[in-house]
Amino acid sequence: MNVASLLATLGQWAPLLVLVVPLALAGLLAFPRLVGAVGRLAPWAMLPALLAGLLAPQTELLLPELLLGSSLMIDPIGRPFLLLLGLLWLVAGWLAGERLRRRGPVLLFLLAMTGSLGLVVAGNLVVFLLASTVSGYALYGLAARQSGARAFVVLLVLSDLLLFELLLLLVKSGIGLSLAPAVAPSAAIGGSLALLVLSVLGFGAKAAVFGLHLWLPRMLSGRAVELLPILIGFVLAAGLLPWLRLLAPGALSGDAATLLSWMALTSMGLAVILGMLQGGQQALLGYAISALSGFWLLLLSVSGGELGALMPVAETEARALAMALALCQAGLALAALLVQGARRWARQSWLDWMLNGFAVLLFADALLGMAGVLAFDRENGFMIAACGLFGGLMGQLLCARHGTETLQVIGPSRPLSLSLLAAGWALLMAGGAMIAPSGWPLAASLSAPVSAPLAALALIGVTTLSALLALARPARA
Amino acid sequence: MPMLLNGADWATALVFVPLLAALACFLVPRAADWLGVLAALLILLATLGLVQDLLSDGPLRVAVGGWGAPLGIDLWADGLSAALLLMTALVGLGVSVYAPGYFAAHPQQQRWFWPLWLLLWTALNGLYLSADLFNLYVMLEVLGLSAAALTALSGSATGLNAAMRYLLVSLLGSAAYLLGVALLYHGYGTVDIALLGQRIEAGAVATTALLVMAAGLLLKTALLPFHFWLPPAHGSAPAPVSALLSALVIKASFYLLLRLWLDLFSGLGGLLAALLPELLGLLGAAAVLWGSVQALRQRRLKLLIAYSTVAQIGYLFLGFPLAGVQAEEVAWRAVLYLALAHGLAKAAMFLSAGNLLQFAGHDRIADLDRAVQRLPLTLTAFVLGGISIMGLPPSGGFVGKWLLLESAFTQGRWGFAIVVLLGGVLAAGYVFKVVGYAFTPTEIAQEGEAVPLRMQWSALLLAFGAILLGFSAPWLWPLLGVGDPFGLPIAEVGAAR
Amino acid sequence: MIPAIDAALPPNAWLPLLVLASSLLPGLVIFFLAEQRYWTRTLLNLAGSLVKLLLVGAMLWGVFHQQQYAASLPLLPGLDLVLRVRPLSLLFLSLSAGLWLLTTLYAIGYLEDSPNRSRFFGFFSLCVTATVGVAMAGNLLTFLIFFELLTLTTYPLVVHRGTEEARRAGQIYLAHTVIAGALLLAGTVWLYTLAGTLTFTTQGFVADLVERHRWSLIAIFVLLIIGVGVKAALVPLQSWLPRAMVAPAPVSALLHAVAVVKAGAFGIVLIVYDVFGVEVAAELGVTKPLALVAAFTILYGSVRALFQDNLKRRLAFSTVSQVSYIVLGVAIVGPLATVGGLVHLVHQGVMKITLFFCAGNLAETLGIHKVSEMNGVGRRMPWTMLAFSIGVFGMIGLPPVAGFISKWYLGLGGLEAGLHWPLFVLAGSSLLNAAYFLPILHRAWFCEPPEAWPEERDFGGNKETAWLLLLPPLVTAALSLLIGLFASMPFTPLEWARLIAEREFYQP
Repeated sequence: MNVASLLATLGQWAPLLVLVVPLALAGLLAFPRLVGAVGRLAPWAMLPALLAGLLAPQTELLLPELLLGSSLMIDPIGRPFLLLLGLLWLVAGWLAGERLRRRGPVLLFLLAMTGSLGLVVAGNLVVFLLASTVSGYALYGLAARQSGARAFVVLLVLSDLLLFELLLLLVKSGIGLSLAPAVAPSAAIGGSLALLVLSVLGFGAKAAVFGLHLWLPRMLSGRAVELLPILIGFVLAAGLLPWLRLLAPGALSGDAATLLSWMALTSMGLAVILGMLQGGQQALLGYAISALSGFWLLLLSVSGGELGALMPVAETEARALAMALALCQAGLALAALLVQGARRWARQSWLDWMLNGFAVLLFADALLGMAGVLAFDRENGFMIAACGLFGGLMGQLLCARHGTETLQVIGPSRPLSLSLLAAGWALLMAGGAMIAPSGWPLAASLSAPVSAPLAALALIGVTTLSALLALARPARA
Repeated sequence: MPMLLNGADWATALVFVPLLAALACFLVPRAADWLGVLAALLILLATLGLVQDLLSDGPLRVAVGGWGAPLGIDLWADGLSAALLLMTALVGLGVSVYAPGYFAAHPQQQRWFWPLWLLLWTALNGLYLSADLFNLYVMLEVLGLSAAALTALSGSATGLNAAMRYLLVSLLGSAAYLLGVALLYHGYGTVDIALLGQRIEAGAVATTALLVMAAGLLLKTALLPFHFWLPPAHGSAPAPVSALLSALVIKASFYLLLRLWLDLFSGLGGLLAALLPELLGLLGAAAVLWGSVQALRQRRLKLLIAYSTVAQIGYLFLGFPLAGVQAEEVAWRAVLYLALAHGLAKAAMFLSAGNLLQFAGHDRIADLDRAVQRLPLTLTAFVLGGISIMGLPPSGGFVGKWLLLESAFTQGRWGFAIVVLLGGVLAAGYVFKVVGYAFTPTEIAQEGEAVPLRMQWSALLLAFGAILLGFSAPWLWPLLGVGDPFGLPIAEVGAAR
Repeated sequence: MIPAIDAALPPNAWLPLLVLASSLLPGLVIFFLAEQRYWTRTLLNLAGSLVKLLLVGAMLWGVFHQQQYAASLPLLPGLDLVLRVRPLSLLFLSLSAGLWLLTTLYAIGYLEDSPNRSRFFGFFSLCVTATVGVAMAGNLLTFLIFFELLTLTTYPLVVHRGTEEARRAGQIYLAHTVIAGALLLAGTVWLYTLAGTLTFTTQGFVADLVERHRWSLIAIFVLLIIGVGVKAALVPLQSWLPRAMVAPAPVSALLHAVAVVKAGAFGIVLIVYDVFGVEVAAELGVTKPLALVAAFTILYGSVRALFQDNLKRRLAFSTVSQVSYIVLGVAIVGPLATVGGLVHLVHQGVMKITLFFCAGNLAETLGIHKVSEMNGVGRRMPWTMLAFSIGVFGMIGLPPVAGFISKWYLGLGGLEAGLHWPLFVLAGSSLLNAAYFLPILHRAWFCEPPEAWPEERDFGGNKETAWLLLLPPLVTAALSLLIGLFASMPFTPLEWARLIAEREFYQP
């Protein structure tokens, strides 16, 4: 057996290896003597994932004996996620440091890692559900003492129920559960309202879409630093990735797409506004993530709208979109990391500076990715508004990186004024829906002339506000 | 294996062995214990021989002393009598093994127990084997007297009182029966059942005879509302005696009633023959319910078991309406199964109660105080007996109830089916009431006296018998059919010819 | 008396009898063993259960390869006591044989140094004998007989403690089961008088009677279902079950997971499929009410469980709810729902027995009986609580634990039958399950432990509890994980349930 065939075999089994390594480490915890060693190794359990993301060929591994017939895969969409998650887990392990020397936390850590990697390599929805359960409940275990944990577990249970129903309905309607790009059930989901609602809400709870976001800011505000990258990874893999797979570009069309983009924009706006209201950086970050999820949903729905129907999205473009989204997320996640990292390394100024520089680079990268998205569909008012909103939020986040722990500017009256702003945003959006012609070609009326001014208005409003807030912030004490 | 003795010898032995043993025990009281057990073993052997003979050669008729009917004494055995003989032999053996242990504490009672009991056994066997009405009367009378005397053995005031009442009832019943015999003899000139069966015809004589004989036998069988004498008598007698009275004595008068009905009266036709079974069935149903409820209310173990007997007798009478005026085998077989199962099970229960009584010195149900731990064999016997009484599978009682329900459902007699089921549920209630208290300790732990193993095992084996009866169909079913006891009445067969 | 075996039967008639004997004989011998003969008793128990497991394994293999196993003993002319091993029997048989071994181990550890062990283990073995008898019943009469035997043999186990509370619980248990038994008997006899046979047949044996005896058949169905429904704890016949919790933990485990409740559910399966035949039952219009009763029971049990502080009572109400999944699967007419119901028979057993073992461990080791006392217990007894957690996830129906598979098939079966309400029932039940189980996990793992436990026992060293108490729940937890994760392998419960549905209930 030569090296090439060995490598080929390895590549074929790569998706399983990604999962088996952390799981095996977790298994070693049964021996109390090994706990210390496992704790030290735990952050590195993501290495196979990283390697697989970089090197493994595109592959699908069928495991018909597992559950109700399973498959694992590494595909172009999953690859960047695999890389990103690998990095996030590495950082999380690093941040957790000494906390991984005890049996309980390290077990949960490894399980959550296995689960979230499983979310990426899942080849069908049953495996996906399994991975999301494992990572979700392990994450709950890690964060159980944080304030948002209860909200998280409630949403987790509800979301799993919705997904369960979604899966059943998919099987019932003969679509099947495979997530492989060739047979992804996206078209069917786009065609049925029930399936669409189930998938938007079911994954939305994990993606912390505004309205189902309650757990995220609170959990981020806790003291456990390592939760940040983990939660970001969870949102990414359990919420956004399945959307990307199931609501693939071109899947949604017509009224459903328009309605969805409208809702996504609304929720995103609310998330941005409320995010700016937040006192703490971590809470702000939470809202930023929520807004990002809205953004993501918006992109997906827009790409399949009127324009998508006119101009069928080619495979390469879809892939480009995916890459762009992933990059956005990467920028956000690492920026968030750095925000949080300051607390730890504030004294080591050279490191601090280096990280700052890195953060700026990543931010630029994220903006570039966004520009790519814009280029993809620059005629769309939704898109412009969303990009604007998102840019504002990112700026806010980076400013917060240099700011103090709380935003003091508006003082006690802050809730009032910003609530007004939020209400204004909601009214604006509702107004947009109202002035649309009463017949239901809402798509046409919203996507072009009517919404462009609205979006521009929103863009201007929000950027101004965020700039104001950023400038008015008192200097570091 | 060629048998050394034939069926006729076995049948004769069944009457004479207990009689001679009774005499011997009376004369040599010191050897009574082992004499009694020996006699019991011999009787069982004889019964088995008879059963074997019946199964191979069919029904048996022996003219004792060589004179045939209508002059001499004829012995007659078919499936019905053989089954009851077998049950008597088994219960008798159990009680005979048990009694020495029990009476070790009461020597003056033992002095009288053996002769009286063996005399009683003679009467029972004779009754099951007699082929003519007068012999039956004699046996019935001997049975009643010896039973009343046995009841009085305990010597307590309540015991004597109950025995006296029992004696009077018994005499009254026998007298009524004798009146019926006289009427029939006057009317048809014979007391031989087979001959009478051919000669009897509907009319005032037959009707009156049926009425008085049935009344007398019902009184002795203690069917509701004639049950009043039974609980005190059975409740106050010594335990082995209670077992005998409940398991055997009552069955004898029931057997007689059944025999008369099957062979003489059921084919008569007419209003009475149609109404009487219904009436008996209703009384039986009432007895099942009333007896069970009363049993549930009792606080003394022996009284509870005695009331349970009242209820169980009721079941036996459900066969009359279900069999109807036409012969329907299933219902009668059900009744036979129930009678046999009741005999074995009730004997086991009374013997267990005797053990508990001897152990604790009382039979208050609420103060059984962990009897399960301390007398496990006894309690097992009680429960196994109880299972058969409840009609839970697998037991003789279950098979009986199954058959009874089957005939009730086939004929659409829902009421009787419900009574059968309800009776089972109530029986479970009173049996497990006892068992429940046997698991729980009382506040003041009670000291118990040792109970000899032979007493425990005899009860247990009897209970096992009641359970195994449920599996006995392969040979019991053909045995019950020997001589076609439930077939068409002889009178009708005669008319058909 | 020696059971009369028909000489004409093929030699594999002995296997069913040996399965019965492998627990009956040790049980009878154990009754007569002195209290202190620990090793003899243990040896007998374990030998019996191992032999049974092996025999069942052999039959599993044989039936898979289309072998026949049957034995009969004449009981009445025309009615035999028939033991017949079919795929369906084996599903229940392997569950009870496997869990019996574990429960025996557990009980040996649990009852160490407590009084009356010989009596306990004697009845314990008899109880399993009755259960395997129920599993192998070849006709309704045999089923009835073993079903009643089960009542009788579990009663002494329920009242084993001998307290006044136990006595009352026993009386209530009996009151329910005996009345139910009477109804079952009535239904059986009635059916016999109409049909003239009671032999379980794959598509039922009453199809010819529907025309003439429609209402009688419906009445019989109701009688039979009530008769077995009491043991299956269908609302409103469930009230004995939570009370029976006074029994020792191995008994509760046995009652809930293997024997009594399962026998009831199994009975419903038999009645619907092998007595009436599912198509006939559907035509008679009796399956829909049954499904509604099951649905109501599922929700009712869950809601009641929410408000119990006593851990075992909470588990008991959870059983009420979970067992009706089986009934629901049976009553939604369709192959997929059938598979779901059947497979839940095994899955619920394995998962629920884990929970009861763990509850027993908590009570025995730390004296914890209430949910409110469970703060931080995960740190003191991590392995026990790990097993408990797996059981809980299974109960909620999360993958990859076995409960997910059952729920999946039930939901799919409902959709297949064109019904959407089972989905809502399942979702509601999962939600409620999460609501009453997850807080327990939160307490156990993430709350601060108290200064001292209510009643702590020391097992020496750093052990969290005796290994005989720890091993069984770990095994069952691992098992419920594995049969869920590898559900599509050959010889898993799921595959076996599919085989049953194909071979027996939905023959082309």
